[in-house]
Amino acid sequence: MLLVGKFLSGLTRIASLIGTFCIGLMMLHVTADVIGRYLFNAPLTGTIVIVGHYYMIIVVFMALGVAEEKGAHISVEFLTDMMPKSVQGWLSVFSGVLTVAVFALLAISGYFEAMKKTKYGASIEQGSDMITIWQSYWAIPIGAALMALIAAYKIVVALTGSQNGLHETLEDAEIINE
Amino acid sequence: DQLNFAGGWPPNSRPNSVVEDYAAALSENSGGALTMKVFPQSLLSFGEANAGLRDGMADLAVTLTPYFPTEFPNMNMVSEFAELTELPEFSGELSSAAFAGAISEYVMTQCTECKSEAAAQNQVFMGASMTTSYVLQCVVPINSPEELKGKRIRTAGAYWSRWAESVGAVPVSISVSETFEALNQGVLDCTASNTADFMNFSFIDAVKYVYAGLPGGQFTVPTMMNKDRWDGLSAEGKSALMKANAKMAADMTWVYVDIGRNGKTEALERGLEYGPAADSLLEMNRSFIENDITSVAAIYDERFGLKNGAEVSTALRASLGRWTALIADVDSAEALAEVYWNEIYSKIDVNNYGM
Amino acid sequence: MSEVAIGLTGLGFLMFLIALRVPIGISLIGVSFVGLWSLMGPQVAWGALGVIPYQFSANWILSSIPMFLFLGFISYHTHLTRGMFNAARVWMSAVPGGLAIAAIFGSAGFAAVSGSSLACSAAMGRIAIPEMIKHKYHPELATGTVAVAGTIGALIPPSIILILYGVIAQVSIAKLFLGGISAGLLTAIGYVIVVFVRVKLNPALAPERDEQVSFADKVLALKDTWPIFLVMIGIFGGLFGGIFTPTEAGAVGAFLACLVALVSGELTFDRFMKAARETIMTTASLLVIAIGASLLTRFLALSGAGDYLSAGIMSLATSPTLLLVGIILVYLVMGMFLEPIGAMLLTLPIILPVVDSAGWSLLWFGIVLTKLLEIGMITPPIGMNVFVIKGVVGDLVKTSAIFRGVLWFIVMDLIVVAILSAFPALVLKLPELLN
Ligand code: NA
Ligand code: NA
Repeated sequence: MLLVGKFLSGLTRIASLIGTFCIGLMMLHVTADVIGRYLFNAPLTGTIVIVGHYYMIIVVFMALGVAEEKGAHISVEFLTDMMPKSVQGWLSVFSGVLTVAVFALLAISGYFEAMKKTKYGASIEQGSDMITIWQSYWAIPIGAALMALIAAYKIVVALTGSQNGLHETLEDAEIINE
Repeated sequence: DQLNFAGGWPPNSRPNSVVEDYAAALSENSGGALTMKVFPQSLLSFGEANAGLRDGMADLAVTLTPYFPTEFPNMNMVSEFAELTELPEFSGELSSAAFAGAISEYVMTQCTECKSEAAAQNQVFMGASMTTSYVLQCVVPINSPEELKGKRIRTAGAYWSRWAESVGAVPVSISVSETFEALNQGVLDCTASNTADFMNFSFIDAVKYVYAGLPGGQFTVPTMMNKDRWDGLSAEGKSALMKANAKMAADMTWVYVDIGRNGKTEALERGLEYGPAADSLLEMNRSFIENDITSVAAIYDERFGLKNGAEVSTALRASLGRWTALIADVDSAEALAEVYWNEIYSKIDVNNYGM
Repeated sequence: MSEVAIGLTGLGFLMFLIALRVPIGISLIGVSFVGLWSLMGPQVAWGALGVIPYQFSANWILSSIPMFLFLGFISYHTHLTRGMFNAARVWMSAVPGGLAIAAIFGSAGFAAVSGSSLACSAAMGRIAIPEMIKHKYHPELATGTVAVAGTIGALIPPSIILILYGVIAQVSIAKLFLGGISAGLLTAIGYVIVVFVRVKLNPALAPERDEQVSFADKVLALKDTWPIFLVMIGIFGGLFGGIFTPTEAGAVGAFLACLVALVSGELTFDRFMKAARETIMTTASLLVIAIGASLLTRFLALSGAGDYLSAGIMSLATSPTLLLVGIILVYLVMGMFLEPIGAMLLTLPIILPVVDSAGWSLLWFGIVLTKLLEIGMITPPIGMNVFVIKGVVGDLVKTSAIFRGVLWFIVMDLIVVAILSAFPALVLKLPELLN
């Protein structure tokens, strides 16, 4: 089980790297477009499409699993905090099962949508050119599946009490303690 | 039976009230057997309309096919020939009404490829309206082809980008909701937008100069229906809907014309410069269009393997002449709807259409 | 079951799941999927799930959210914000409660480069609270001030809440940003007054500092504020000088912050990566909720439950004042328990038609709504800003003590809401200048 956790953790690390890379690219790409337009009258064609259909999609869906590993998805805890510890444990299993179900659904629907877009070679007009966008549709099934896997792993660890191979430390806590 | 229409226009806008009238007409034509519920912006955005119709989230919607170039290549090529309306023999305040007739007729009665690509998206074409012509709306004066060089111009699609590149301007892609501020703050010098969006997006508050006849081009606004739902309608239901379709195409086209008219009146009252572009610019524009018609055919051949570009443009040119004459005396949306009904929609055999 | 009943049942389930600590975004997506399935069949449910998450996220205007988040995280990690508090501290040295007031000014300044109130509280908390504790400020005053001052971060532009609101309500984001300035400044002034009055009434809360600061020192302290001012001037100068649009401002601002940090020697690879990681996690956790809310909107529309609830609200509120008071109360109660962006996205589909038919300005409502949601950040039992401050101070101060420290400021917040409601021109004047 520990190995599975370390493997999943490795996957989220890759996803996280891809996401952070896109953040840097997004910043540079938009800035270059602004500078090109303002100083040289030469904007970068396709910036809007690439930012929306590539960087945004990749950032959001690649980071799903990262946020799940770190427990960063937002929930409301005040009611359950008043319940006994054992009930809370079962509730997190319940919430985990729902998470797995919802993101498995998203992965499946995303897969079929990505297949359709791939078949058409979906593209978007930008200026007088075309930019293909079907590739980015694949970020949804991949990201959602990673998130579902991590949530499933967390349930198994919680139920069997086996050693957890994930890095669950929240980055926030790191900042606060630095 | 109730049909759901997913509209992309804001709830209190005039285009949305046209859709409400469409719903009322359907219920009247069918004697109440068919009704339509309108969801303004709450169900599908323009970007979601294609897939939403395909999967049946809505039964009817406007599919702006240029948003989906690979799914609707034929429909888009036909739409690109809206640039013809700026040629001297077709241009005029009602050129959009003429082209809406020409394109709807062409797609419904001749263009089998258009219908089969819609069917592949599980959709049936219900007729098209057109926006008014695109005109240059600027914060700086532009009186000659030289003054266009290097100007940052917001372009809404391929036609306008090709145009901007050919005249030496800088085509800028910016979302329409940001265009007002971009004009206001000087990020843009001009926007190429239709005369109704001049009002709809308040460009009238930002620009000082409006140049009609330049760059031209119109946006096609086709109503599409989920194919399963169409197939499931009775013959009476289909006829009632077809009759309403004629009204929808006319009303929507007319509302754009009317908003454009109001915009011009108000602009002149406010002391904006609003009139035809300089002759040198118009001349330049017309020769651009004549060349571009050949380019469109070549682009669609290269990208999508469509071989019939030249044929289509010839056919549309001929038909546009006929339509320009047909609508010459039209003075209301009702009159326009009647022409559309008599010339196109009444002639559709609803039992075979879309099958 | 009628369609409206299916919709209302779905909403009931949604509340139930959220109360059971199921993440908000997952509850929203799950309930919408099942709801669409039972209303329209499997094809529609699958179709919606296949299309809407992509279409919602692939949005150019929303791309400013990660960029503004990144700007804030970079500014914090590279210490661009530290000098601002120090300068305010030195200049306020003679004023009773000067450190607390400096924290408010520091937050207002940081607000101009940060899109969220949480980030604002977290950053200022780490800078200002240790200083106040060192000078024997009462812990309740010290922590409470910083927790509330953070809320200015969502009012003064940039603001994540205002961006999301603008996209959903289709209101110009530039105008929302301008409208937020006056609400943010009004809030800051209100908080300064609270500190001033409290310290006047009870000087023991904030002992006088025997700090003799010469004028030369004061001028010297301004020197360290240049990095953050450079970034601010870059953003607002470029925005209103016609160089870039509000959407582009996030990316350009983040780039500027990196550049300034690089020049001042504070930018390391580790800090850059840390800021980027925080950015993607925050973006994903926000967008999942927004995607879920977007799906819920379709479910509410198709079931008719949204219209049903909006009409219900309209029929209950017999006068505009009653309607407004009702809306304010609803958001104050919701704000006690819910995370603000979730609360906003959940309710907008129902509230926006109401606001529209009441004939109110959507721009003005966006600002009032943001102010109300931000009050939720500091009210018990769920006050995110308070929890962040708790994280900063550790065992030093109890959560309940921070909530007590916040109470005084909430009274002022309610006064600010009343002023904004009574004088919409305060919000609308600046944006009108755009025309
Ligand atoms: Na801010
Ligand atoms: Na709260």
